[in-house]
Amino acid sequence: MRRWNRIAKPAACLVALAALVLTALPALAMGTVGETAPAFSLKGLDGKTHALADYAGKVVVLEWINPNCPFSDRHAQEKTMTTLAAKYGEVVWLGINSTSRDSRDFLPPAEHKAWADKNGIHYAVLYDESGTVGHAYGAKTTPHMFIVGKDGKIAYNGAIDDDPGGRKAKIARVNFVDGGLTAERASKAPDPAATKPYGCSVKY
Amino acid sequence: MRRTLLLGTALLATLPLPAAGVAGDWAVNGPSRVRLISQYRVAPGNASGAWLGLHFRLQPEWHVYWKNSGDAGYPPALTLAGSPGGVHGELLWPAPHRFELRGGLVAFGYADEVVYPVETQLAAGTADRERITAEVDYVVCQVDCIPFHSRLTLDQPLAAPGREAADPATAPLLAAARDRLPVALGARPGGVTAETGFTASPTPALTVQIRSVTAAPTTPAGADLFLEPQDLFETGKPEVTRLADGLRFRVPLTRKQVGKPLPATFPFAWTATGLQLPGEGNGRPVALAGPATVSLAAPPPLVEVAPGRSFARTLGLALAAMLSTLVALYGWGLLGERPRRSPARKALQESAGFLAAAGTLGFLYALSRGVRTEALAGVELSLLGMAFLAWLRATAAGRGKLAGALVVALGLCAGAAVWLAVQGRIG
Repeated sequence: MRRWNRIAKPAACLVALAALVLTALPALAMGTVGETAPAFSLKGLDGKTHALADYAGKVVVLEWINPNCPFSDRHAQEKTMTTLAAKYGEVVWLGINSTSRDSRDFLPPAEHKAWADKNGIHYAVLYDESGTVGHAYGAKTTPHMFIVGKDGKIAYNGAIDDDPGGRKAKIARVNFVDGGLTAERASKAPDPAATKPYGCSVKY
Repeated sequence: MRRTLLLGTALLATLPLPAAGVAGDWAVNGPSRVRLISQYRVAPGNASGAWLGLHFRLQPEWHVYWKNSGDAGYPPALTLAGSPGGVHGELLWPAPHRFELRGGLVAFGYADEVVYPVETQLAAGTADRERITAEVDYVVCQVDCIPFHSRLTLDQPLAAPGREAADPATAPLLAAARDRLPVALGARPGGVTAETGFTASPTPALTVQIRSVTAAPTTPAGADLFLEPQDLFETGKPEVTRLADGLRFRVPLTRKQVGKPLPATFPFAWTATGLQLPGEGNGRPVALAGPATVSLAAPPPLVEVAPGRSFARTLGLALAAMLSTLVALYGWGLLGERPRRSPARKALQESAGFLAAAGTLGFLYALSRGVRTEALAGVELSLLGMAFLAWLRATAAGRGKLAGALVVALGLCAGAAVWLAVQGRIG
């Protein structure tokens, strides 16, 4: 009996420890479609703190944004994002700016806000100067778009549309986020669920 | 020498051209300028294989893109038009360079100066010149990226076949650009072969092994491998290993989407740059390219982690089920007799045993939603084995060897669970 205790107790402890450590390991999160969207809590230009958890149960669109990037600026002027955000009123739209404070593209919040106001951007824009959230999602470009489904999983990762140069007529563009949100409304999976994002690199 | 020649021709090309010139005007766009050039001062009418080029010159640190632009940007797009009957041609892509950007991002393309060759067929006819126009969309990046659109024109004088003349300024530029085009693997004699493969564990990776080549000594960056964009995977930076008779590139892959089964095969195209071929001692780096298809199906994973379930969670659940079974067996006194137990304590331990058994059921249920049935059956079998050994030990009370066997079996089960989980790790 004593011998049994000598062997079994440490063995049981070891198994328990291994189980604990392994379950606690975070899953590799790189914006992979189908994985749980990485949690975040960031301060917005509106002065409020926005956490992904605040919007649990809602569809959330994340748009990586940089006013100094001509691609973000073009879509702002063309009202690509604001039109979509208005079309899908039930969706939470968040801009995330992961530009590092060291980058020459970095804008003080007041200037960013002036740019947003000028372009009629009324959705929350969050500052992620450390790039932590950008890296957690694997955000590469501005604009790089993600749709987080009601289940909290990434449903779409990629470009806003199929027209990197902005040369097509708006009507002729295939807007992947528009398609994805329509699918989400019908409780279907966006198709395509992953595309290659285009634009400026995120200025980490 | 070549560099001086290039520089010389480049300088020449910036000089004002005569009206009958065979390079179009530069379109100056911010930090970049772009124009069309032709191989011929006078081109043979109806010439197949007449070469045009899309010639970029960039300010320092700016770059334009290869057909796979990497993490940001996009490749230039060219639409040619000419007289009725038309000029056709597609951009070809010289061997690219890798630019590492901040934040671990990469770009594939060209800095300073590049000519994208375009093989065209000029229209047949009696005209003595052809006006070629091109619409070009491109983006040029440094820290910022700026997209541009330009309409380029080139007036190409034509003559009867046999009376053509090369352009001394632009022909060498085009020849150098064509030298930089990757060579299709099969088109290169000399026993150069490539093998490609896919490994699923421990992490997914693609390997391209090229035989009978070495890394060219003149390339500072060494040999490199570029893949064309595709939907299934994000590709990492290749690790290059020198083999006795070649080079091996291993490209780490990350799935872009989980929850969808991988297709059985994965077709892709690779371009290896900075290579030196056998018997070509001039040191000029060569690029090779080839299509390949690898099988993603073999070996099949024993445990496929379901969408949204992490590998660690699955392994943890299997171990937790084993642990709670062990607690249940202990509570029921099946792991050895419990002399001098008070009735109250005995009742408490037995209740704990039932609780732990319920826990096992819970863990198994959670596990069943994350793995394939075969794997679940494996875990359940190992639990049954544990219970059977405990029962054996309880009936043959006092026989220490059985206790030892139980521990060994437990160890084997835990080991098997880990092995199964590692096998099933598909990224």
